[in-house]
Amino acid sequence: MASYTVKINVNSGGLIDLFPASGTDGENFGAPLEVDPGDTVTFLRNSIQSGKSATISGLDIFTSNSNFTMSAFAGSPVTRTVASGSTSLDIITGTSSDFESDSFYIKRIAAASITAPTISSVTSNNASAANVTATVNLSSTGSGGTLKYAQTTSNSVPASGWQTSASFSHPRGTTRYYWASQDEDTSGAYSSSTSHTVGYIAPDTDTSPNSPTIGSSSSSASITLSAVTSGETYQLRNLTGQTTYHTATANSGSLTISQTGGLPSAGSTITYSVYSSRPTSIGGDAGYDYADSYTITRSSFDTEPTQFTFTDVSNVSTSTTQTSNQITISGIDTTVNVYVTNGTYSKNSGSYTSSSGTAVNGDTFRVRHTSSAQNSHPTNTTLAVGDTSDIFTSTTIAGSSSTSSYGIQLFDTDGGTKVLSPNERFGTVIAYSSSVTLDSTTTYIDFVMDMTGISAATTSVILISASFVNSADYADTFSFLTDRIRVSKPDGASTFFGDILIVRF
Amino acid sequence: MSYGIKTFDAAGRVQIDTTRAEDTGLIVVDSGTASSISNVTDEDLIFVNLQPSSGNIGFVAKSLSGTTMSFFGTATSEEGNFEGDSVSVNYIVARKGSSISYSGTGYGFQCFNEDGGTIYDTRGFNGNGGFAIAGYSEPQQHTGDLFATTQYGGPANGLITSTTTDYVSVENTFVGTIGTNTGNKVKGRYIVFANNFSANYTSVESKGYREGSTTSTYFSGTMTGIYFYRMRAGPQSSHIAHPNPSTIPYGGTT
Repeated sequence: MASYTVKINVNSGGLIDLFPASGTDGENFGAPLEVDPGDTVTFLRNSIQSGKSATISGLDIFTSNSNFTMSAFAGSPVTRTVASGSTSLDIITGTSSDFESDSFYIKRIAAASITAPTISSVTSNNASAANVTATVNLSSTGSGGTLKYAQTTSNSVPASGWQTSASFSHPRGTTRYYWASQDEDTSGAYSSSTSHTVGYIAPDTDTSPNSPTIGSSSSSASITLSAVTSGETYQLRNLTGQTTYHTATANSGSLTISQTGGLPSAGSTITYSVYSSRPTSIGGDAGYDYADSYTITRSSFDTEPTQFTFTDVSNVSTSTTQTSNQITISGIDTTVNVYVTNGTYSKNSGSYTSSSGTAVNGDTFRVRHTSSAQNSHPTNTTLAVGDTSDIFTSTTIAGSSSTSSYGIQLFDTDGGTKVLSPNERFGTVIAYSSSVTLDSTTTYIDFVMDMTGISAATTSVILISASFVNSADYADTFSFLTDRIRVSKPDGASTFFGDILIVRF
Repeated sequence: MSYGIKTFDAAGRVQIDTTRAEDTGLIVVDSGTASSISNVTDEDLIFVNLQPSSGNIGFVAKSLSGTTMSFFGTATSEEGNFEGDSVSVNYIVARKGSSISYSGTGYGFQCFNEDGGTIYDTRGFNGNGGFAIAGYSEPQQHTGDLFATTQYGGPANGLITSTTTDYVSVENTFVGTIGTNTGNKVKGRYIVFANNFSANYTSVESKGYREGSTTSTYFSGTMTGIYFYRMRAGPQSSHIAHPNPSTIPYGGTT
């Protein structure tokens, strides 16, 4: 509501003047002071000479329309309120004590009929930002005033803050109340409030990570998230998400991270989680959400050295120490076991041993054994390093080819096939047993004999059976004792049934 | 030795020793080329040989039904129906001399032990000669993936002999059942004859045959010689003992 002032002057000659506090509105009929119902007009003594007075009348448009008089020294300012009513021109008359008069023109402008607008919805533009633009949409604009809008944090109609624009800045993660009114009329010509909540933009949930396989000795794995959003932050965590290995922010649609933490051991695979976070500056809540999973597989160690070769030797003397050439281990990436059979080995020029050991790339080995006591007989020593092995073979020199100075010769019945001579001989069966059963109850059979000259080096135990179907069917342990050969089947897992021939050669 | 005869060869090895009551010669009673042999007795030793051409490989295992021994495998390739295909081999049947009935008269040589039993009689050779064992492949064991270093330690690559003309005993073998990587047992044992054969383990495994715990040392590089080979179906991880559970003698006729 507006307030106006009308000043009063009465000079010594009794002339009276009513005039506005500023400007000229009200002093002329054609240019009245325009007021609205409810406005107030204060009549103020500006200058009334001593002994003079002024009486104001014609106050019809005011709610209190009685006349009043002011003198030079009596009478306080009088404030009257414009009553409601139609548009009309009121002529206020001031009469001095000398019966001089002056008119002041006030025109009441009738209040227009005001109806409240109706809000149909509030929509927002989901901007990739901390604040979005919310727009108030009306199903009815109302009438009678100026359409304005307001936004509040609580559900109470505001006394101020109205604006003509229907758009507001709305912080993400909050609820706001929106209002519409005609001419800021908060006494009834305003809409019901419409609440509107704007949430956060969720971070990426499909980042399309790769699942690499790394080398057995690799110290990192390259993880590429091929579907990310620039500005979002991503974390590589363990499967449960409790341990974070790496954090990185994307500046394009793809993000590659070199992961060094939590890598699997050789030959195993671990599953990891990707967590993503969208900062508030681009509409997120800055919290981390689970997005994806991926795996890293570490290859098994290479335990198969590059094939190494011992150079076999021949025509060596009987019962002499034979040492192989030196070989160098390569092609592995971990420590592997070393085994030698039927001989000894030296590692990196160390002492010779038959015990198992270990090897890494660059280690050198030689093997050694004693050549056979027999002529023309090979001796094999196998060195197994990891999954690779080779045999060093020394073959003793052939015996004397002389046949004329000693020995006997035996010929077959054809007279031409020599079956026995100093350099010809047939095998000799030294023991035989048929239909032998060895099982968990009877685990061995003994062949008692003169053991002179009988040893594993010159004697072969031959099993004859029609029922071999698996390893457990064999009698597989042959013991050359002082007075017998013992054929055993120590595991007892199955039954050996067959014939046993023992042949000396 | 108060009486009798004892002879040695040039290397000092015993040939005949009449003081040993049970000794008797190993005499060839049959030989030839066939995919099966009939009239095989329990105590006969069967030796076989294949001569694949250069670049090829052959597999042989025996199956004994009554007195008929049949040979299965492949003659010239790592591919084939091992359990179903007969293979023709060069064979030798050796029998101990004390089990042979002698007949006829004439020149010759007989030896008796102190009990009067005949342990050598040249009539038994009967035109086929004797069988001389040149050596044998030692039993070999595995413990898990590691070669056992206990009682025996045979060649890691399964080599029996590098002399491709030798005849090898098939007594240790049996016919396999082809697997497709199922099950976990030895499915067969074979004697393998390789002549400048280049292969690797994977190429053989891809045919449906799988060796035991060690892979790299079998069928690796260029193979020339006679090998033993155990076929199995199933994964590699388990313990498979005894790739060669017993001695495998080899040699030839005298």
